[in-house]
Amino acid sequence: MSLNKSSATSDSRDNRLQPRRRLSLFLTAFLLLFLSSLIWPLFIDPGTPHLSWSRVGLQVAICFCFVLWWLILSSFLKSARSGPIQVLWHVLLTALLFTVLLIPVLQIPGGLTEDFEALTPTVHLKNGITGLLAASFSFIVLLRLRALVRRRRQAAGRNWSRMIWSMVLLSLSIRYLSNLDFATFIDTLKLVLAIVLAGATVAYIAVNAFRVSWTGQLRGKHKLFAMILGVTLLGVILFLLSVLTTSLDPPQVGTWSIDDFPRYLFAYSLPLAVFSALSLIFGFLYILSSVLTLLFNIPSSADIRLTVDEMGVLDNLTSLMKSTVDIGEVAERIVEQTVEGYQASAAWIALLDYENEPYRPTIAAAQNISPKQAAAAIDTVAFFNEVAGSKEVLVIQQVATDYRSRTSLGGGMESLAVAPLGDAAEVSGALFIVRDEAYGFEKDDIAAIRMLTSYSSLALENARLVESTIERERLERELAIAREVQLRLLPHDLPEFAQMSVAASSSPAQEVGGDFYDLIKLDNGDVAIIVADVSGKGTSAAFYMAILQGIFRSAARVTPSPREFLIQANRAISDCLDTRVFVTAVYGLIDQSTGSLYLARAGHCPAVLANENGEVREWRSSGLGLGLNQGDLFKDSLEVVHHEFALGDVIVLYTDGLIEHRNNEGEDYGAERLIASVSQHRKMDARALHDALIRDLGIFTGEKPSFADDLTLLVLKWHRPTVKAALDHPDQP
Amino acid sequence: MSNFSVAFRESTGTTVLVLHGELDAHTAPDLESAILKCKENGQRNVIINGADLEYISSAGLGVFMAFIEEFRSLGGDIKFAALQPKVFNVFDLLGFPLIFHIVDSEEEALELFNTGATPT
Repeated sequence: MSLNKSSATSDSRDNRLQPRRRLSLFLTAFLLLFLSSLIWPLFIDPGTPHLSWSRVGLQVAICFCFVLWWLILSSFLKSARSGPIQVLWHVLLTALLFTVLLIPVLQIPGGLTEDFEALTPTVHLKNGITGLLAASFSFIVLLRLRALVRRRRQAAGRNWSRMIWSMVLLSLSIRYLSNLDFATFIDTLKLVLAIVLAGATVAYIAVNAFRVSWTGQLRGKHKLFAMILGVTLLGVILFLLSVLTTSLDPPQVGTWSIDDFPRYLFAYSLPLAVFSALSLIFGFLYILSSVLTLLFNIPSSADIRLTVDEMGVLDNLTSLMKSTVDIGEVAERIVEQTVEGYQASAAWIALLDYENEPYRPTIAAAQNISPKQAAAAIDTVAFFNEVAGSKEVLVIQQVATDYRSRTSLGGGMESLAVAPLGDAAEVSGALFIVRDEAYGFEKDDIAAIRMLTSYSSLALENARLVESTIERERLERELAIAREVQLRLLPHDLPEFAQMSVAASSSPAQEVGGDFYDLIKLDNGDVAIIVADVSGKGTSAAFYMAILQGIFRSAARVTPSPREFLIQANRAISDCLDTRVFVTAVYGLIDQSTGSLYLARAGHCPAVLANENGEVREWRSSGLGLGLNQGDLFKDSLEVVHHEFALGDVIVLYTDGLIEHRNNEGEDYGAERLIASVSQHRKMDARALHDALIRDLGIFTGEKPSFADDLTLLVLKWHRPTVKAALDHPDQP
Repeated sequence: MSNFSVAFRESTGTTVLVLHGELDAHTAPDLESAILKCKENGQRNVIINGADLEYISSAGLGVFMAFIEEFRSLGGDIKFAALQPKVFNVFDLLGFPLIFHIVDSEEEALELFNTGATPT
């Protein structure tokens, strides 16, 4: 059959040579043995007892000969269609062919004595051919019905082999066991053994005779057709059986009858005759139970068992979703369950490899086959692309003939189903299921596989989600650490001063940000103060912010004057800034003893100054941002302003995140509102004023929880009256 | 939700980029690819028309900083025209008027290209 069809590629033809050579070897050996079984009896003296060496030797040769015949037939029938109708049709045709072929054979002249001895040498030919026909018929009945019995049930395979073996054992030993006269202990043992063997055979025949789950899948006219075929077959088999079991009187010489064939069969080989009879009994019972099931529409227990098996797999996959997070492990479990619950001889999963572009399907897990073998057996990419396009289960009923199978697969790979894995939007993998018989996938198999893959897809998708969540959580942890480090770079406790109070805060838009403020007391008692903003947000800004902190902490001590410091800072930071990144800063130096402030602005938002009387102004001195120019332009444009503090003076430094904050109408907070707010709350001390300013911003923006930009605010209030202030306001303490 | 766009316009050997909307960290790559395109086409004289530019963030300003030195080394320049007051304020605070030509109209910017004036 399909064994003769070779695929187009030359290498697959080479690979197929091996089984073909083996087959021709078997055929030759079979023919030689069969011929010798025809000639051998010529040399046996009719008086020789049954259990003599020459007769037993002949029977051994015949048995060996028919074992080979069984193997040859089974390899021919392996890839035959296994639909119920086809099987019944085959069996019926074989039965008719057997009967028709028997007629000329039985007309060969010559007959048998009462002891089944040949009267003429031609009878040996008659015996042999009758044996061959009977054996062929019973073998074909068994081999074809096997497909129906084992349908979709792996466990049925075990009971099937046990039945065959018990039939073989019973056939082989029947001559020895039936030779009883109950005189010895050995004979009692023989009897027990005979009963056990016969019991086992009957039991296994009975078990297998009720494996008729296929009947449930037939509908309408198929069912009717199967029934007609079944009933006809029952008639034919019943006829043959009745012939086989009628009296074994020697045939009349000179006439012929179909009733004679069992005699010639017995004369040829008793084990073969017993095996044929057992096969016919099984065939009869099996077809009888099938017809009855079809007739009364009884759901077979196998049907229910099958559903239970499949439900079990789906249940396992569901619990897998709850317990396993590793995609590879999920894939392993899916193929394992597929082989266990879906009668696959092997299964494997190919998943798109999202790590390397372009994404290609690679084998993630394989059961009963190594990933390497699976990759070599078929063109994974071609099959994947097809199911990724169609999003439907693809079934190849004869793998060997498909152009995408690269080699003769052999070893239990006759039919293949490829099912897409993934969601509605995208196919991210494929499940490959192979079975050891051609035409191994029926309609309801495909429905079951569809169910299996939708569960598998869920399990895989779940694992993928969990994996990405773990990755995201890892990143979040890293960012949390970065945030902690950055918060540590900001001064957690601002120093206390006798003459002034300072309050400040900074909140990044993301986990980390580019805003920065700091304040240090220099050795001579002066105080250096800075608020800065690195352009951009997030991690890169945070790195530059850290550099800036280092520059401030070191350079402010060496060159504290605003002009010198900012020139130093510009030079230092320009070297490491990306061309599109710059830093704005406002830097002040306060002489605590005299209350004088020197302030310079490098591209930053202007400082706000308010006095006790509510006069507020912005200090918009000229100055380029840091990192914009490394030459004289920066120095030349940098302007330093000077202010003598009076009692109640307030300095507010901030970053643009404050005034660019928007409310729900998309309106900026703006410098004007900030100035108004400062003016309103100017009498508060630094901490209260700082909080009031943030509160006012919150009222303006409404319930917006997150900051669009990094936001930093520093408030400084001068508490000590200066000499000048005391002169201006003599009534104040 | 991006509401930023760049339109190209040719004007006697000069490319005018008309910016529209809000230029921030999310939309800066659009501007960057627009300027890159000018560079690839060999156009070194670029005028940024900011009449419809409503907002600019530091990331947007950074884009100009990324290209200016290269354009100038090739004999070209980037000039700004017709910026809205609010946007100009951001430029001004940062000191951009010291580095770039920022003028009231495209014509003025063209005139500056014709006279070959450089800002610093």
